[in-house]
Amino acid sequence: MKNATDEELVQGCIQGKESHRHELFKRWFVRLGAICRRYAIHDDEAKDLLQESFIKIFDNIGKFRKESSLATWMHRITINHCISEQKKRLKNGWMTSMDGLKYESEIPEIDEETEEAIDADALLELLRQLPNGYRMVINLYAVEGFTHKEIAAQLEIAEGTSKSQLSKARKLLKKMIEETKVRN
Amino acid sequence: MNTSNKSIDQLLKDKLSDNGLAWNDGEWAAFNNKYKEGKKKRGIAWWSASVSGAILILGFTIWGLSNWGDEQAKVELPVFNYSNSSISKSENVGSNNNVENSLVQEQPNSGFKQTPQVNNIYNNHISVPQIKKYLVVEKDIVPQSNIVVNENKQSEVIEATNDAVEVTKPVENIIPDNLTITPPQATQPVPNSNLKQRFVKKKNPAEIIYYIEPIFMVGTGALGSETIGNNIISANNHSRDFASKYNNGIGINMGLKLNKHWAVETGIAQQKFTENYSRNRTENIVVYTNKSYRTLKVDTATGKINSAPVTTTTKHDSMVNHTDKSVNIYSYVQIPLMIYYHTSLNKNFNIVLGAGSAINIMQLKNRNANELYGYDPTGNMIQPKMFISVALKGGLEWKPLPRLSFTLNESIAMGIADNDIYRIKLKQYATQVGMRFYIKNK
Repeated sequence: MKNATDEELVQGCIQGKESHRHELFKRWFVRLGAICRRYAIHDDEAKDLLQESFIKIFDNIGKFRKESSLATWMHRITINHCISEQKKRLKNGWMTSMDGLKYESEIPEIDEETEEAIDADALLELLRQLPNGYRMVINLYAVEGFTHKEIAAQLEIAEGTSKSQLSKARKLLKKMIEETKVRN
Repeated sequence: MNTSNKSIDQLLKDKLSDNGLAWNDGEWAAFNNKYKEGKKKRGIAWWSASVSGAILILGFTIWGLSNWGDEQAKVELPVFNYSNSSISKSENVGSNNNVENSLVQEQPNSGFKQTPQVNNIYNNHISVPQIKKYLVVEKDIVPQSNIVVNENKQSEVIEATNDAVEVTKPVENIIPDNLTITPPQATQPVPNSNLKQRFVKKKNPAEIIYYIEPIFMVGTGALGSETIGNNIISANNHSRDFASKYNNGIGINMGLKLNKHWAVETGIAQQKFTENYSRNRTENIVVYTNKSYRTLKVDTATGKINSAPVTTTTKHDSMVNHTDKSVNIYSYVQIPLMIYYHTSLNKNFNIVLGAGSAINIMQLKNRNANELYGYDPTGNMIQPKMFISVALKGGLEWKPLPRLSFTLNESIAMGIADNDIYRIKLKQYATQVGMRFYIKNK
């Protein structure tokens, strides 16, 4: 089963084979889990998000048309689910409209020393401490690679709001990273 | 700016892209259980949703059909039977926290006093009935004196909050003996409160409903009559039989519903009863008048004499062969006054039973094949005759719309018109078809 291709696993899942589901789950657990971790505020929530994403994946795997790669398709489902769940939680005024306000286009930078001083889990913890709106936008823009237009559509906000949230998220995150470095 | 610097965005991407959850085999087991359980639930949910949807659609369809335009369809809320109700000791009715105090009867030796203040609060505030729950809790007794308590727990009744769980233990078993909680409505009518109004069904204001019903009648009538005149002798003691003929009419009734069941109705209808002898028949009627024999050509029930006298010497030996066609037309106007009892068969169908009488004004026209007569044997114009009939009516009313119904009634009416011209025993069986238009006046 370990040598099975993604296509074979998909076919097995469509046929309802548990072994194929198991393999697919195992194969993608870490990568999809990384997405969930970035959107969740703690790992238990991340596990819930991941399990629910996998349920959606398995329930809908018959609809996978191979128009994109399996990775992209699963990635997309997971991100959508994370966004959807976060939106439920944050539906009331989670992101103040900043459309029309000035935002800084310059991206703050971190020096090499600082980068080495902070490991991934520490960075993740800092990310999780960001306000919800900041975290969502910086995740979608910086890590997932969405444009502001796509983010605005996804989160049902103005494009300017997305930009300003990103700008503020970057600044705040840099500040937090530097403070962490100083403490350490 | 240092060229080895990295943007925040890049830092996040590099460090967090693959920073996934740690794998262990328990993850799969946990997920697999959740997935299988969820699949069952999703299946049940899908099935339930499908069945519910189907039932809803069916229900709405039936409801829509049965209530099409029915503004009178009313939903009657369940009525709390106030007088027969009983409230257990675990519940009480009140509106504020003081109510339960006022409901505790004063016991001479209990040391409990019901103060006027409590009563005032009770009187002034108990306006909105609420169900008040009590919880029974076990409370540890902390000895505070030298009094020896044999039990280490005792029960206490406390007022519960809205989200309190239900009473799990009969209150009767744990209420202290010196307390008696009396259902308020059983012995203590609540003064100055609208407690009763909450549970007493409001009577609708009297509804006066008029209706107008054009009616169309078809049926048969039986018209019995005798030959006229004192000197008429009928061969073989024969008098005219009842003739049963086609009957039709048209009219309009006006009804007034007195209440749900009873209504009075009056109206006016014009009817015709036609005797049409279109076949040959033999009459063996001989009339002896003034010692001369006159053969009568008796048209019909009225005994209209229109034949020439024929002198005969022998009584009872004359035979008349009718070969002409003769018709009698009784036109009469009925003004009924009936009382009706309506009872619902279901939402759209009523059974209607009625009884009453009618004033009938009858006018006779008789004619043979070529002529129409309106004269009696002596040559006088036949005058209208008024007589009373009694009638019974029963039928079905289909009410597809609140203001419109269709009626089908069977009726029987009997009346006697008696004078030299009209010696009529009228029996009329009619099928009446009508449409009622209701006019509500609240």
